[in-house]
Amino acid sequence: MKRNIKRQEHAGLIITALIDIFVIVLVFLLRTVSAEGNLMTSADNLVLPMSTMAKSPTEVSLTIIGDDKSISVDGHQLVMTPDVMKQDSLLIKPILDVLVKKRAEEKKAEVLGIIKESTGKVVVQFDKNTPYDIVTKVMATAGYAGYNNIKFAVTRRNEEG
Amino acid sequence: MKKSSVKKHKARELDLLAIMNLFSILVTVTISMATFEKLGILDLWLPERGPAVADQQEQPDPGLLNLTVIVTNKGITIGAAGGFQPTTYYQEEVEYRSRSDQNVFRKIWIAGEQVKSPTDGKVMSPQERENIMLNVLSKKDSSDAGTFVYGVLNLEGDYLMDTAGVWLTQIPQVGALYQVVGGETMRKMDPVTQSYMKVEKLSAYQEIARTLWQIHKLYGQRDPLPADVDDIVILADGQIIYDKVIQLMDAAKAAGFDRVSLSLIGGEA
Repeated sequence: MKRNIKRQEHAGLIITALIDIFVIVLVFLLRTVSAEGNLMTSADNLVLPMSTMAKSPTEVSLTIIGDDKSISVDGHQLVMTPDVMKQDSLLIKPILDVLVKKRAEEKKAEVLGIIKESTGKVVVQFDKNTPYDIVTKVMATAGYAGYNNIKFAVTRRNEEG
Repeated sequence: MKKSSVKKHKARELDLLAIMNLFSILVTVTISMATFEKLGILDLWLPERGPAVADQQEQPDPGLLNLTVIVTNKGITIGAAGGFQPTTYYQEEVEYRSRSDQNVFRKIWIAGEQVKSPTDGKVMSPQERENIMLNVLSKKDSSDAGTFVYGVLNLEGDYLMDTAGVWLTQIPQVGALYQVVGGETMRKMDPVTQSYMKVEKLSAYQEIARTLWQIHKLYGQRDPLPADVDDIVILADGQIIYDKVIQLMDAAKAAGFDRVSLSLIGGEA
């Protein structure tokens, strides 16, 4: 035993196995990380519905988020969800006012050449337990304000890439 | 000089420390960038709002199918220009995941009922509903309690059909041909795939997807191709939860209907 120690004066660390692990971890991570990054982030406390037929997210100018408490446009809380549930009208006034203003700004930006095209795209993120009634009211409001290109945010299931 | 050095270090190890450093940095960077929940978007097809034409007589085109899926809290009905298909009745079963102890359990959903976790007795919030499954009930009429229909489920969440398009009720033998909704070719059963198969209650979404898929195949054979060959309207009750609408949109898209529009029963959205 003593002899052995004497012979190998420079007993280097054997890192080959560790390198193997790192290569595997790296390959796995590179597969999961998408090159395009995050175009869309999901809101907190929101369970999005699952979908197998969803497409990759594209760039959008506006996001409407609704959960069981409130509905917000671009991060600004505008109206409480129970109030929307109670109202009879399809149009939600506080949201409509904001959307009309935003749509006008978008059109102005298109005329000035700041953005290429004002497509009227809007992504709506709703909790999967939201009543459909609220979804239709938000959709109708968005459509009325000129946002005709409505997209639903979902969580992709069993998808590659 | 050279000779002696070779003698001293017979098997000189590669200096991998620099590579290790590089790898640890790369792994940290990729982990910080990684998103493990993949978000996607579902397109909605809305008819464009054009200027109203006053003189045009409102004559619906007789050649169009006007396919509509009507969903209520009891069943799903497919309707078209010619009439209605028999309603697919379902029972709603919810898989809960308790936020307090991550316990997963299933429960038949009854409107207005308070669901408590079997482990700690906490009342479940609607946000703790992880999976909402609609099990097909075979009924003679609407007053009948109905019996469950069973199907063979694969790992991807698709139910299997035989070559004629009828749901399989038993796991097929190795080498047998089967198909899934939206699949373009027949598949052959292999031992590995077979080991992952299980018999489960048939999902109403799959039942609807199969019917829509068959309609789409038949309708797509018409010559000339009708203008609304890829169109479908989902007509839902206001009390229906959003998840059901999204799952039906998925079913319609899997069946080949890409232009999905939504409507509200008794509404105008």
